[in-house]
Amino acid sequence: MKRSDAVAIGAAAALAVALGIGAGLWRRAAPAPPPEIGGYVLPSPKPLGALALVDDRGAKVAAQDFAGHWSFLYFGYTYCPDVCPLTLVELAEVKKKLAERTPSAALSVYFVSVDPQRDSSERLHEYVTYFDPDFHGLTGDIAQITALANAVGAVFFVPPGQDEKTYLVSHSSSIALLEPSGAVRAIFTAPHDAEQVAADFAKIYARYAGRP
Amino acid sequence: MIVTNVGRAALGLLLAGLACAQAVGAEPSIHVVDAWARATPPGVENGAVYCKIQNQGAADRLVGARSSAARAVEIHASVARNGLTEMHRIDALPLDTGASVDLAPGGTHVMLVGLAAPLVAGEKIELTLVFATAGMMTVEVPVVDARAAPPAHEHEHEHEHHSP
Repeated sequence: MKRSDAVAIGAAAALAVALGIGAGLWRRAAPAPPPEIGGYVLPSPKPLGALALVDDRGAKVAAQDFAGHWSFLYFGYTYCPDVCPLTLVELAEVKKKLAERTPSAALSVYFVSVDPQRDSSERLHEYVTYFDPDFHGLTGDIAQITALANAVGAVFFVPPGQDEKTYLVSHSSSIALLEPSGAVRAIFTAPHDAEQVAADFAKIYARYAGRP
Repeated sequence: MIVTNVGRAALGLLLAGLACAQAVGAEPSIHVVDAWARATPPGVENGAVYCKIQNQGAADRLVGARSSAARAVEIHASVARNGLTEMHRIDALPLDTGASVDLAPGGTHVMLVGLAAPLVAGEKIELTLVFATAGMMTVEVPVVDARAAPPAHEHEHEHEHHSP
């Protein structure tokens, strides 16, 4: 063995030991992992920022209106005949399951229109209450809907080259969960199964409900 | 067991008679089974029809559809990719020999664009499917309220191959 090789091996061994100690310290300093869900839980809740939306009853909705209860937010549009009704049926089922599993949790479900041009408050009201009488619809200026989407990490857009009456909208398939402070706590990723979402919420609720 | 098989065959024929249509003037090679349409929430303009298409004949393609229940009928696929849900129009849905293709919620479906009237649970609509080779096939489609529980569908492989 050449002398330079021996030095290199020694240096590598020292580095490995240092890294090992470093990793051990890091593990002790890092927070406990959040609950594992079908999606992800934010390590610290993310506030929404200012918002000015309109609900399905024509009432103004600001960011602080999401405070005081847990909120499930799904982005879609009433012109969508397949995935949106499918997801709202699952969310209605989630609400039923949680009424039994976490009866102390106040929940609201919001269907946020990614198509305010066609989805008026009146239309959203007929639509969302068909799935559950307590569901809320949100619409408003496209800039405000975009602000809410940005805040929860959702996207939507109208693919170009479509008819101006029958256009389709591409949108995030995830469901955002806001905690009672009004901040984003978790994102449930598709495909959505009511049992899985309910079980995941129960884990999140058990872990974070006691927080101020 | 023979008796059981006869019983199953009879049940199969009964179900086929209820929910299956065959191309007129062609070999009964394509079967459309378990068709249903989603009852629509009030005020909604569009509907969706789901079914299973079984092809026991030569390779074919579903190239279109029409219905008196809607202004236009299109074949669409909902695609979930990278966390995004998109719906695309499909010009032709390939149906290989022996294929059984599921048109199911959250996937490929028949979109009824511009409904003449809301789709009410318990009612039926007619849907004509147009195949490149097998020609036109009209099926009666029951409207189902999918809020309670979507119609049971077998969770099998999307492409089920039948041995001859």
